[in-house]
Amino acid sequence: MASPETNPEPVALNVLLQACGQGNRLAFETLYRATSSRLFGVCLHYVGDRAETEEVLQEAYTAIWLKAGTFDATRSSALTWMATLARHKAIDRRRAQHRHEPLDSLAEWPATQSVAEDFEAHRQRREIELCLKTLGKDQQTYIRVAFFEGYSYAELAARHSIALGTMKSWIRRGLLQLRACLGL
Amino acid sequence: MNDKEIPPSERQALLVAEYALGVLSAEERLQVEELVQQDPEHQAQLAAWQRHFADWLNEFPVVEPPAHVWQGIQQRLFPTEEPAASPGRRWNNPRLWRWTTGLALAAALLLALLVLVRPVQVAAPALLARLEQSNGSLAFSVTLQGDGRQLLFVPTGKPDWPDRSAEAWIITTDGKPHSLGLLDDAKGVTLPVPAGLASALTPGTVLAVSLEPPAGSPTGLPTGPVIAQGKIIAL
Repeated sequence: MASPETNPEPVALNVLLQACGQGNRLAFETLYRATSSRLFGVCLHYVGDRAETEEVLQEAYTAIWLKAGTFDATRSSALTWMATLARHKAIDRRRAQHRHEPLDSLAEWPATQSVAEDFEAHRQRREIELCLKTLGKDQQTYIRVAFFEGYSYAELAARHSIALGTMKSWIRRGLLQLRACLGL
Repeated sequence: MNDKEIPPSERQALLVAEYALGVLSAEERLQVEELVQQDPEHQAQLAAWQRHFADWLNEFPVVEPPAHVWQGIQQRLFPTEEPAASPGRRWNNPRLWRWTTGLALAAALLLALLVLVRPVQVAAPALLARLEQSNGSLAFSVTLQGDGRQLLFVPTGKPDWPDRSAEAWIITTDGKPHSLGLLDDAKGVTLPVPAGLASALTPGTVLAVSLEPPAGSPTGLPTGPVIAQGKIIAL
């Protein structure tokens, strides 16, 4: 996704998504075929349960079709736009699944920190990784954990046995530093 | 870092970052969506954050969803039509096109198709109205179907109205609401346009959804709170 101008694939996806915004169902079907396995992978990571993930994927593509008219190719690539939307749907589902569970049982979930660590090899050259390295260790860790676990502050704090205020502080300071480094 | 420690100038920017990271509650996210909608600068920032975080999203494994997921999507969006063939079957039809390398080819083909055969919008639904909740988030999208004889209401988001039903209304230019029928919070519902009201489906006319007793409004007029409304836009 690094160079959307030169790589024909993202450009084609952008065109497809824009066509969806105009009600073109052939484009929607093609877009689904071309991207559903990517989005399913994203949703599966956050939701876990396959049957529920299938529902979330349906919600995501329904929303993609209905919101396609708001997609702005000058700001975003179609795949990023779609994957982001799907991730939010998946995060909502994950939180709803466990809303009524006692926090103890949350601790039994596999720690996603290791998932984050698996990606080490791919990290080196990316801007966000370079900037992340300028942060304190706890900030690095919990920004990454927050992204890959998809929890709210309160859930993150409980899950990792860290005071809520401390968790917020680490992540917020980290985000502000990251923002400065990325030049946003 | 509590709220007092964040410089006021940074608060909104921080909210946008928190939104992109995914640590906000669903409610807070709605607030940020409104904030972003009103400010192109926030919009640009959010897009930039999402671009950076997309590097992480790209690392998730690619997993093929089962075929029935596509059919479910079709049913949600276009429930009045006969069930579509699964994309696998249709797309593997060599007479339609030769399926070889998947994504790149499909996209390239479609791109060519879009350019060459411009009016592909044969089955395009005519978007009629977006009915929004008071907080600005979309609650139903309404399209005209079947040669203008039916209205399709598709719920978006997660409606929550236990023990009540949602009733759709059209408000004619004389200000009077006319019931169109009851909606479903989980799937799209097609409602026939009442005889005599087809001419009311013009741009600017208001469509609304109110909460009513399970069997619908007992009076023929809305009795509960209006949870979503919007105007018909030009087709």
